[in-house]
Amino acid sequence: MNKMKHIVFYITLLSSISLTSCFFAEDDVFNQSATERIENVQTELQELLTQAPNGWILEYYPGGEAHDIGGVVWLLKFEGEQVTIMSDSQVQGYDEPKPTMPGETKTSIYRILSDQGVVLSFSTYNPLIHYYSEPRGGFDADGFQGDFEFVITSFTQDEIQIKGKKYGTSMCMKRLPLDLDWSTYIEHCQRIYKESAEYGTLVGFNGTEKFAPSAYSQENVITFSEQNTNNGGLKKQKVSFTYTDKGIRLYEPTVINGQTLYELEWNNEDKTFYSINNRNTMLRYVRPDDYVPIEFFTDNQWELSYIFEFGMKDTIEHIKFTRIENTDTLKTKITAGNIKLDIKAIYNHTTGMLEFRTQYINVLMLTLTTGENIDAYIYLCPWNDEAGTMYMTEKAGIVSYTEQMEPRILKFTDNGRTSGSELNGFVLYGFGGREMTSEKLGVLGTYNEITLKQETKE
Amino acid sequence: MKKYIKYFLLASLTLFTASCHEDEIEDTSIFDTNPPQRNAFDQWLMNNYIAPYNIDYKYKWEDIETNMSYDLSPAGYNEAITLAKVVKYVWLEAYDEIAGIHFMRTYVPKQILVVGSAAYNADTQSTVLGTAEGGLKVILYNVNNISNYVNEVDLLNKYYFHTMHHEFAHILHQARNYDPDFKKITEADYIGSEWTEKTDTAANKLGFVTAYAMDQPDEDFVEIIACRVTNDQAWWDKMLEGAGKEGAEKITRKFEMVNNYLRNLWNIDIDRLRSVVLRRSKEVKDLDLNTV
Repeated sequence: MNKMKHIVFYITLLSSISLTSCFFAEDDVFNQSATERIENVQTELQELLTQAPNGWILEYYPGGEAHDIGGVVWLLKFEGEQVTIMSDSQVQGYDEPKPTMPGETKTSIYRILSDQGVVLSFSTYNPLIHYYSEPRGGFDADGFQGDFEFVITSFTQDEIQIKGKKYGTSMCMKRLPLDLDWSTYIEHCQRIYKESAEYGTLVGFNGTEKFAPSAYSQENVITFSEQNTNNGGLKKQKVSFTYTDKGIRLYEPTVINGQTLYELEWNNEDKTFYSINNRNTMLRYVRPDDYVPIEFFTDNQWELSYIFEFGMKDTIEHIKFTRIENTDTLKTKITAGNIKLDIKAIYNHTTGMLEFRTQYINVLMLTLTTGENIDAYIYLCPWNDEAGTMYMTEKAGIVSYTEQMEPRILKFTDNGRTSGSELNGFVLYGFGGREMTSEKLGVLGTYNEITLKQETKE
Repeated sequence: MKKYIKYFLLASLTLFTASCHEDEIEDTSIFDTNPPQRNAFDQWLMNNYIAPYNIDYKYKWEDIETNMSYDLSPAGYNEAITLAKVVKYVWLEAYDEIAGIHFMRTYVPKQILVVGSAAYNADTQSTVLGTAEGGLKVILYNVNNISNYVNEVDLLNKYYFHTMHHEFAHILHQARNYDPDFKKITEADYIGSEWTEKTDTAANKLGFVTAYAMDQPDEDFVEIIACRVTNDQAWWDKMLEGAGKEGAEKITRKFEMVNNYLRNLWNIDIDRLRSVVLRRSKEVKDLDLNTV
């Protein structure tokens, strides 16, 4: 009997093996194989790109995941394996002898690949594209952190949604209307850029009510200050934008103190950007209350105070600014150890503020503890003292802001030209040669909590 | 309980065996076998790299072929053409001339990948100009800079030929190893990545031709070859002079081992190779480097 049970069991077992095999004849979800489908999408996309007679527009955002260093306009025409591009921004590739100007076209090769899905890859060098992704020497090994390969996330006849492969920024490529003239479009972008560059300070109005009392606009980024509801302090929000032929478009619809901003139209008569969806909402350029002409800096004497040597000393010195010929660059002297060094500050006409950016200062003969004399090439490099990181990129710097009006007291904060940094001072750093790629000798001095106080005349 | 086990067993067997639904093998390959559209340069590469050497010269960006720990940019179309011509004339054909085209066909890496920018390491502040991986692939960086160098033999040497001979020498020693005694001459002074903190002059004094040679014995070995074939005798003598008695003696002992290795194992006379390389580097400026 027991044996019998076993036999029955084995028969069941066997039959389960032989019988179940074809029970689940599943229908394929798709008619074609995965490979065929990918290939079809690639072909379809290739046709879509090349069959737009007037090409495409892409508002492109570098600046890593935060895409917080401003956007640029690319007009693209795809033909065969080539793409021809025009941009509204001037760029100069790292190895290039001269810049590519706004409105100038450059041609290179693109390909449609399949790796993370279907990918549009700009596969030979084009300064208009790769300027934003290439390394710019050893001290700026990741450049402006832009993508040049994009995963296609979806597309219609008129819009292709793309996502940067490395930094993941989502962008949208739109088909250009037949009657749009490329050069005219770029000229309009440029005109709005020039007309609106008079002052750096914007005020957001909803009707007559101010919703953003002080926003700061520089190089395609607006920094809004929002009242932080928790502690009453100010919270900063950086939003990148690109110029359009009518005004500006922010990276995405952005809510600032309850008002949504996205596409705005420029009116040069009243120096105002009007929200396209609601013309009551606007950003108006105003002359800042604390605005001063460049003479304010040269005509006054200033008391400069800072903490020196990694916070070891508080120092006060009395300085004067002199203007270098008729430029916007001012010169002053600052103490380092037992010597005084000339450093340069840039006066910004749109804000009336001063900036200290990365700069070469001088070559000094230093005596090492071994008694050996060496030449040290001194640079000023902006840094953050808490993080201990110094920046050697050209535009990195700290910019003044007004702490008190009468007599004027200025303090310094990050100038917003490097992604993800919070610069609050600078170091004087010695290199072994004139280039910053040469041997690093060390820190000559650190300067933090820098304050400039206007000295009142007796 | 046993019963349950059986049912589970049954159930699992059912799962394992339920997959015999007829999936016909498709007659289309997943690889596209149609010849691709070739532009003028692609066609030139067919005739000058693929046909004679079976080398795939890749200039259109493929991130998967690169080292993803760097931020890089693709090569420019015209710059890639210039470099392809220079590499063929000064590297491939120099070895053809000395060792015969069959030697080159056999040992040349089967893929040359060109990258527009250099590969910068922000932590060590070092710059990579070329790499060779297991004798299969050479990556040449900084191609977009080539127009600044084509008329300057010294710079061409520094940025390209040095790298190319360096990488090819790696392939040779990976195929036939060199005398292990080589490693003993300056055994205590191999310092790995700290070489970036040394200058070439300091390295010379310790018995190395360049600072990079201090990285490890393999690099040392190939740096000797690269320096020897891309510089003239005056340069070599001056380098030895600067190295001082002790340094010069070590470098010379190592060079003799390199010299014997190339002669005995590869039948290559390094100084004949040098004269061919130097002659061809000087001739680069007279070549047409743009037309394909």
